[in-house]
Amino acid sequence: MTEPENLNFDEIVSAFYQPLYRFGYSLAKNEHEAGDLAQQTFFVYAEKGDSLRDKSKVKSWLFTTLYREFLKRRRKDSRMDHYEPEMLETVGGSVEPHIRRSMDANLAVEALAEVDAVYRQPLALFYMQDLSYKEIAETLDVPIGTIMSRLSRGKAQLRDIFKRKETETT
Amino acid sequence: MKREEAKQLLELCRPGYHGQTGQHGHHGHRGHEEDRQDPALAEAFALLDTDAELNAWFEAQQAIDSRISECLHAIEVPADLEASILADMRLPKAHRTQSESAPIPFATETDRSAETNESGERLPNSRPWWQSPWIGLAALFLIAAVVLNLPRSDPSASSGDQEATSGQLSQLSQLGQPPGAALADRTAQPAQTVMAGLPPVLKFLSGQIDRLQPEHFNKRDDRAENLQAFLVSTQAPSPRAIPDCLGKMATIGCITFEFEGSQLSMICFKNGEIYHLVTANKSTYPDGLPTQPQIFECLNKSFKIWVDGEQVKILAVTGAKENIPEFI
Repeated sequence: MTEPENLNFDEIVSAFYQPLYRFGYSLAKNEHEAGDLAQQTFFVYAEKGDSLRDKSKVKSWLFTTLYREFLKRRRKDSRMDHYEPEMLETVGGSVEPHIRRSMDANLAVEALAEVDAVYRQPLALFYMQDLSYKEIAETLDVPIGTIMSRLSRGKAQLRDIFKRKETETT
Repeated sequence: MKREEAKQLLELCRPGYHGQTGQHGHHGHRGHEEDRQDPALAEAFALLDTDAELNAWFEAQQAIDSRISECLHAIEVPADLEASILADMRLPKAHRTQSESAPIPFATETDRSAETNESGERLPNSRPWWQSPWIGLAALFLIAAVVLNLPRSDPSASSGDQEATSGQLSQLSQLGQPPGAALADRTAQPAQTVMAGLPPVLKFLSGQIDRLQPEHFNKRDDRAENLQAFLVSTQAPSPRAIPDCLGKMATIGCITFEFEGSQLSMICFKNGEIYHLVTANKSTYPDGLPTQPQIFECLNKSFKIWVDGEQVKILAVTGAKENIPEFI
């Protein structure tokens, strides 16, 4: 794959719209909002991507933009004047029962929703495998050591929940 | 290295690593490959060869992690999402469906606060644009048409030397327009969005001409030389030379405008059609100077713009560019 710094706008959209949508979905649990978040992310990039001096960071830039956009919306929705990121992480949508997606995806998103909020976003980014640990830390604006410890504890939770849900499903 | 210590390190491995075989998961991510190459993990990986219990534990962890990863990748992405994003981005900025701004990652705090302040609220129940792109596009063009026809600020009428007479107003009637009617031909073709690349000054003039009424003129006279002298007396840009074909036409009046700190003057000629000759000083002209005459079409008007000595001149006519006389 061509390195991100050598991609034009269309190629950047093509390369990253799917992982961004999935990350948006894992946050919002709502396909409408996930599409909206992905769209908004590229809109911001088209408007302000020039401010990104290191084009090799375009991927983390896009994920960060989407995540901040999600937090901003949740902050507005919940009318929080003084927000703490971890408080916002607890605010999520409810999984739409009617949406068209596979049982597998539903299983993973529901399992993620049951994990302690503070672990949720690092886990989503970890299991989607689009970002390195360093990029996950940049995206969530958390020190990499904190990310590692959250992942370690979060993975244990998620595995247990996932296995339980998978057994229930089958 | 003890088993528990190795477990802690192996816990860092991303899904898709299958021990000594080096096989990768099907998502094609290189993270597990990077993990395998990580010197900090090398000793832990080496222990997998000799510790069967550790190896079984690691395989089980990798299996569940790979399964979770597969499930997250099964989230279905709308088939039309990419095309819709690209289509929306190709619209002029003002027509895009997204208008909210988000904080800029990796930006300075100053940048961030500036971004936050300019963001607007999205309607909470608005339907996402990509659910119905055609409806969204239709609405955008409708909004664009309304915005482009909104009244703008009144043209300058400060000179106070308005000499409109009933006789001169009747000249407008002879052109098929009643006194008080806009000079521009509003019955012409419906608005077409051909705004891409249009210099801002032409957009400005297009709006001013659309709203031009006889009473807006700073001076009304049917002789171009009188209007030129009037403009000189008010220190407004006055065309030093009138193009030959226009020189044979009667004039209606003149008006001045301010645009981005630059003063523009406009003399209107009539000859069955109405022609607007705009003059600006080259030194204060707000847009890039054309190296050769250029023609633009905007909505129901066409513009020809050229440099004449120390002045920039713009000729505006109603309709297509074919209506511009060949006198330059």
